[in-house]
Amino acid sequence: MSSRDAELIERWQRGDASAFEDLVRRWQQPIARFLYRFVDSVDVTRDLCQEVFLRVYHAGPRYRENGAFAGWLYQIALNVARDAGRRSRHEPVSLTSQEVPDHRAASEAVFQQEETARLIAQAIAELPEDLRLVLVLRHYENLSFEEIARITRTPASTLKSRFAAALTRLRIRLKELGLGPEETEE
Amino acid sequence: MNCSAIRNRLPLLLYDDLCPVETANIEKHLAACAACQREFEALQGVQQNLGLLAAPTVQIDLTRFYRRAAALQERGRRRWRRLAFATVSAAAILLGCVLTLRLEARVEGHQFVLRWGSPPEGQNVVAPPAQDAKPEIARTVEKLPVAAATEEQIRLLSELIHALADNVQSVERREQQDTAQLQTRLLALQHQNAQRWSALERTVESLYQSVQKGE
Repeated sequence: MSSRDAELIERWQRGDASAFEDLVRRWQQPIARFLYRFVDSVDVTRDLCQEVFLRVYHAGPRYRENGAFAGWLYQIALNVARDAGRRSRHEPVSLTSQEVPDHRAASEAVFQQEETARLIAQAIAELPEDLRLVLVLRHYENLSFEEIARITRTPASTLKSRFAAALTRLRIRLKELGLGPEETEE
Repeated sequence: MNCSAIRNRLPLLLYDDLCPVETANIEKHLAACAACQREFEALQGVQQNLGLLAAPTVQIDLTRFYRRAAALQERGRRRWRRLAFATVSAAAILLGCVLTLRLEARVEGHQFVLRWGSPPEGQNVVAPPAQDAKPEIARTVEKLPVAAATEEQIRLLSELIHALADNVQSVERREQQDTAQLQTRLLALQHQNAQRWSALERTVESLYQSVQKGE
């Protein structure tokens, strides 16, 4: 965790509400990005993001600073995403139904890029949750396996195996969907 | 390492998660093995594709956030009040039962004794000395601390109820302080928003006037 987070938490715990607001501004985008890989719409992501910070707000006074704020925050976000998944009972959680903008005005290149993004989202959504989680935290959030291990309470060696499995599955699935580089070679 | 073992490590090589020695070994293998090299390039393609997936921009509305936090706090307070009320009621009922029924519970020898009402007449009266006078006196003397124990139980229950009531009051005071803080923050935010809005209006107005002057 950066010293900036530690400083903000300290100020917030002393009763400075603006420090909490700074924390929200600092972390809302990474948390939204993380949640977006587990839910199926921007609106749901926005609501869940608020839910994460509400939990942080209520649990804040009990938080003990130990340099693991990011891990604590992602842990809360993961619990919120899981609760939302249980509530909605979407199986598999579908990213394929993400809001797709109107393509009519878009150029062919933009349309192609959006279609590619849609297929990638679909391939990620089809991954089992444990593989998806490690993929999202390693690739999109750029966390180390040791940090992910603290968040998920899973050994780093297991996470490395899961990450390798996730990437391999994605390679195979993207190839099936016509996005693999081998397809052009074969 | 054979090709299968190498391929399992390729995703970690791609994300620089291997130690320098292992990295060097695998890179050496890749230079000599076309199939593994193709697999590695395919994984690089996956990594690039993952980068195409954008995430939405989310900005939390702090005014709405504080309003929701206050509502949740209020709901929590109501729940706590209901729980405290139920606990105090249960304790009061228990105390009432103890007092009216003159309940008495104790372990005697190898048995648990639950007794209510007044003891049978004459039980507390010391019997005239007889052959088995010694055990009878002992039983009567045993009864004497029972009344004291009941008094003690009542006193403890009464203290418990008072402690619970104090606890409820302190929790409620704390919750009220939290809610007041939230409301203050909410008002401050609203005030800030109003100030920003009027500043924006002034800017727009001056821009409009300068545009009109320019024309």
